[in-house]
Amino acid sequence: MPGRHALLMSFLLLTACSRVELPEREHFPLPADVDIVNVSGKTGATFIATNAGEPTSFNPLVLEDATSAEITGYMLAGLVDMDWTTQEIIPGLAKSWEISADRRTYTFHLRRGIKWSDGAPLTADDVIFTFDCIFDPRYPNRSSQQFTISGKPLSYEKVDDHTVRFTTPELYAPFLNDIGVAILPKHCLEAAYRDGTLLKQWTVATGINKPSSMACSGPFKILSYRPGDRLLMTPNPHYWRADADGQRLPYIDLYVAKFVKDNNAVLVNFCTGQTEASSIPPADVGWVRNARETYRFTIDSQGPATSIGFIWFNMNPGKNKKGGSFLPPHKLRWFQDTRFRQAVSHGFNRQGIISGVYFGRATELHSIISEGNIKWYNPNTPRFEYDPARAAALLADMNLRKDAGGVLRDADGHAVEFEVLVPSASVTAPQIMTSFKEDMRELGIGVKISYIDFGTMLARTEASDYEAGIMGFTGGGDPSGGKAIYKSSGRMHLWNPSQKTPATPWEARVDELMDLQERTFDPQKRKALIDEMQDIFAVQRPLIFLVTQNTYLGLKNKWRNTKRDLNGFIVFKLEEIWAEPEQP
Amino acid sequence: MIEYVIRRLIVSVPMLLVVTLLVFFLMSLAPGDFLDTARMQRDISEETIHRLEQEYGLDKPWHVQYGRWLGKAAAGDFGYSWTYKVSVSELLAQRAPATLGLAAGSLALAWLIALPLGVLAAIYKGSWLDRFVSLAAYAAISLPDFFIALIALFFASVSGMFPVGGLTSITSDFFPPGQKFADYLWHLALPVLVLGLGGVAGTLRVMRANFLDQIRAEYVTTARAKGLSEFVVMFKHALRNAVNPFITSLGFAFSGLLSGALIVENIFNYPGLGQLTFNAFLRQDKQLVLASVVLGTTMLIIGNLLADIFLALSDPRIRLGGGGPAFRRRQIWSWLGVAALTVTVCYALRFMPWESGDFWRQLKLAGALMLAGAGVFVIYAAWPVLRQIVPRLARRPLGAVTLSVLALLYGCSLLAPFLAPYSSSDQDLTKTFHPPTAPVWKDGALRMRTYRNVDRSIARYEPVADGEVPVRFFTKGAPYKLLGVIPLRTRLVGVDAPHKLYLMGSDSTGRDVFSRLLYGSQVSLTLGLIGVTITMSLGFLIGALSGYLGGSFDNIVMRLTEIIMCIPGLYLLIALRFALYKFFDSSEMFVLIVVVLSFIGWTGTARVIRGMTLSVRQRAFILAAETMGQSRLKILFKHILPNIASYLVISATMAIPGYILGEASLSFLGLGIMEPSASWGLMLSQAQEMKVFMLGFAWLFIPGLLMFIVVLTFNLLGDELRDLIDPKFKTENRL
Repeated sequence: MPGRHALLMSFLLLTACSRVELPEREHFPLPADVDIVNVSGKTGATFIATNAGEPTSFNPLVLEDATSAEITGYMLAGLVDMDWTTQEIIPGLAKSWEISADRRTYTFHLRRGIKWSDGAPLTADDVIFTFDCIFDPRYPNRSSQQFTISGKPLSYEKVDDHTVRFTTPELYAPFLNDIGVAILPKHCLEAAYRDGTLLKQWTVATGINKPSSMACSGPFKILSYRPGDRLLMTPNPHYWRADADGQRLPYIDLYVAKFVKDNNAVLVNFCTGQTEASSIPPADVGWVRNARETYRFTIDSQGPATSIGFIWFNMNPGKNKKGGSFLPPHKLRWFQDTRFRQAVSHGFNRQGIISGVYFGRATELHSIISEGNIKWYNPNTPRFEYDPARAAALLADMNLRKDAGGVLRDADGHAVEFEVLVPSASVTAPQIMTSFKEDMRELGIGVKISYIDFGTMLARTEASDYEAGIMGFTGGGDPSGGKAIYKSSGRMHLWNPSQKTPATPWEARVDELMDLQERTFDPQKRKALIDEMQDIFAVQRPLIFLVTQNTYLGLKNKWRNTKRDLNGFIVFKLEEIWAEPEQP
Repeated sequence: MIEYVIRRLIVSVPMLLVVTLLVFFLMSLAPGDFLDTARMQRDISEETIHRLEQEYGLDKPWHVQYGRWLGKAAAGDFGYSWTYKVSVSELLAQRAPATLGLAAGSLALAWLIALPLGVLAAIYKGSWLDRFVSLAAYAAISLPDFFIALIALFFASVSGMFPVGGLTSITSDFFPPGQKFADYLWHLALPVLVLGLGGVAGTLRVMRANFLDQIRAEYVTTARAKGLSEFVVMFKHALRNAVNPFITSLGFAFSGLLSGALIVENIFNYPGLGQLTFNAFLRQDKQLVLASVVLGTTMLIIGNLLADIFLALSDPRIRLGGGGPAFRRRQIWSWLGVAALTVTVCYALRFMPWESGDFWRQLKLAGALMLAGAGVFVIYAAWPVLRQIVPRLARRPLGAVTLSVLALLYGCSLLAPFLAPYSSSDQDLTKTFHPPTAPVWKDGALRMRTYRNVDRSIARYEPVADGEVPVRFFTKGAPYKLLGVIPLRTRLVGVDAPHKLYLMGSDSTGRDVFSRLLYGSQVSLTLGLIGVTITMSLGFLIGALSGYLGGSFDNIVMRLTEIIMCIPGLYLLIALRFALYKFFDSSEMFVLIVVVLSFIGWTGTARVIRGMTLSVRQRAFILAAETMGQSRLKILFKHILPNIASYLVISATMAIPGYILGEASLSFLGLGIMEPSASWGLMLSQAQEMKVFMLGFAWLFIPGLLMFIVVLTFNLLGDELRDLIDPKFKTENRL
């Protein structure tokens, strides 16, 4: 049995030579305009983390998912950067910028002497090239819409080799938030840009076959990639940030992303010391914590997640292709009634879900912006918490009454019931839905749960061919990124999407607020506008907000230079952390 | 020989065409496409989506899209995967080595263990070794594969002896070659073990039966009479002949080498083809799905070819010819017929009034009637066999035990609403993951301990001192209908609210596991019965007709079974679910699952029954009936059916576990029974989270235990039946 011998041999080998030699790190002089970060540490450690997704492209112009965005974020830097501890804009490739008096022209000064990872200089030409790519109609990409303000594109020009100037067609407050897009290396991609194949560059295949051909400006470059398995990244030897001692960042010699889809395997990896950091689902914190002594790690609470989860009703009064209405008129009447939606919100036992399903590690959600989005969350929105009596009163106010069998009926005798579409791949939705169904039964409302795949759900939502659904949105960042949800003309304005003119006064007011905040530069005034928007959504409840789970971060104790953000939660930047080398 | 191979390969081209056409059609049934995720991004405009649709030709009807794909594929270009944005062939080539390693490893493992054990079990037939080995083999296949894989993962994480998934160690890129290889094997060990375990049982049983057949053969008696030592007789004569069929089966094994093992790959995070194709199907990454179907079909064609060649090489009596030119012409014609049939059916399906509720009601009614017909048929066919066999079975100890276990379980399932203290959806969010409530005898009455949640963060409960509450019998609960007709309110046991009686603990929303098990048994236990009813009647009808009638009917049917065998069942299920979910309530979903599972399953039965019919047909009594002028239908039901009924009964018994385990695997993948309905598979798949293992919610594994018992019982019962009906293992000799 050769297999068994080899197995034995492997044990011996693995114990015999556990030390591994990495390729030697290259050293180059620091650029003239190096960005000095006030930290210090030692180089040499390896950082291993699991990732549930997998990159689908390394090209930032290609429609991307979270994992691709994360990896390209390590590879390519933007003009400006975001400091997550303060949620403020800080210099990136540009060391400074000026804003004109009319607040429409922005002049950025690039750092001098900075280079791509292959040694080519990084200049204003690269920036101009990037925006040429973004606005080229041959290459549909998400940034082109971001930089199209009131239907007109952003204008940009090269002033000199180290200066670029942007002019927004109208006043646009979130400009600095948006301008941090990844700058592309002109010397690598210009040929492809000309012959029309730009979107087929820097694919997964490039990552597999010749990762070194992708010049990087971020802290890391790709060493090797094996789909379904892992991605290795090593420091960019020309990175433009250094620490207080003049040591070029990042400190770690190797970053490893293991692609693990199964949540069990992710947690087992972490709690057996095989990965350095991992986010831990609330219900698993209890047992993962048991291994903290053995494998020397700590689990910190990170507060509520930035995503929001909700159940919503179809409120589209329009006609379908065949000329009929989307919903029976009596159902549309209920769903359009604010009292009905408030009653449903009052009828849902969030605390029960929190204590039972999340083991007490979740937060009630009562606003369209999660508590996790510290900068924009409005804590004072009206809350419609669990209160069956209040719910019953609201329903009675609508003339909906329980019959002898406990079924809620309207004046015409229609039983109050609806069907909720549930994406079948979701893990928590079935638990929430079974509980929601029981809660609604208390009110006399019948709920039918229909599990369907996500694609079908979207198709039916878009066609307004449904009664209700349960879904979530990822959140975080500037609320202007959520235009498509908030504005009545938006595609993601789920309950009644892509309206020509706002159907209700409150939707009209939200539209107005969203337009207004784009032109408002005073951060406090902008916050006030967003607060008012949240108030409207909280009262009107087009989305019945559910709960937001708390997030937990497990991190090995050996890592240094972690920081705390506005809420006191642990955050770290991969390029700044380091670990004392372990004694063999 | 070369000519033969070339001819066979040419004949298989139409098969590839029909299979891809069918898959393409199936995918076109599902709403949405691979741009759905992009549509969901809140900052991607409609114009962008529209442009992408045009670029990928998604705005064209499906047959135009198929034509385009075919044109390119013929030139060797299988297109571009939307999800990974790489050429499909490159993607498949990348995953192939890992898949190959896994499949070859588990095959080798299964053979290394099963062949010697099978031989030993046959030599010492009836000894404790024989019994132990076959019991162990059954035990190994009586748990769903995902559960075994999870236990292996748990073992790896607790012991630290094995890696918890992945293909290689993260730094293996920098290892010297020898260590790299060792590292690869080390990572392969656990997945191979889990995957190989299932193969062991099947191979072992076949090997044992083969060997027994050989021992009884005349040449063995001759060898013994010559005075050869027992060792030489067994290992030089019998073994060589008994291994022969396995050499042939190498060919079939070849076809499975690249099909991937989705569930094991998933849990061990092993980057193989199974995961890749499954995700491609879910994301509707058409090009990738089609390419992998082409790959699978090609492997199957080559595998069958190899099997035939091996057979010819190992058995000099068989000559490779594949019939004369007339036979070949007929084969081409039957392929064309099948292709025409497929296209017609596809179009007919397209233009059915799917949206109309009336149509569905009629369809459901027709389905129910057909099912009832099948049920009548099965009872008609099996009754004589059962009447003869059950009393004999009940006299054997093992037979009596298996029969009573099944009677008990099915009885409980019928009385579920009466026996269960609660309904299947009664939840209590203050008592999630509650341990089983302990009964105590106190103050002259049966009482139950009450519990207090002492640590909510790990769901730890402790009994309250002196908090016992009386257990009441024949309590009143919510009204229900016993056996679907008798309206009742009485339930067997209960306690006074707000306390809850958790005989087997509670689950993640505080529902009573015991009650859910009872309600779930109604799904899990009937699923198999309905499934075999459909497979057996369809298999008999088509298989026997095709064997008896022969000619072009036989030809077309055989081509059809080949096609269905080429379409991966899982994908068929996903596609049909996507297309049909709208018309089924979540509680009716299980009907859909059974129908799809049996639609895939009937082909095997049909092929075996066709073979049996062919041999029965040669017998004198059929000839006699024919000369007497009896109608074909009468001959089929009166003469052929009774002769193969015993086979039907045995194979039905052995097939039921497949449905129970299949449902569990589907639940694990999120494709099975859905909440709030209950089934054992769903309940066990909800116990898959590591917290259940780590925080010791052991009661959540009870569905697994029950499934284990039922599957084991059915397998043992099948074995007993075969011992009685077919003592010479005739039915086991078909590999």
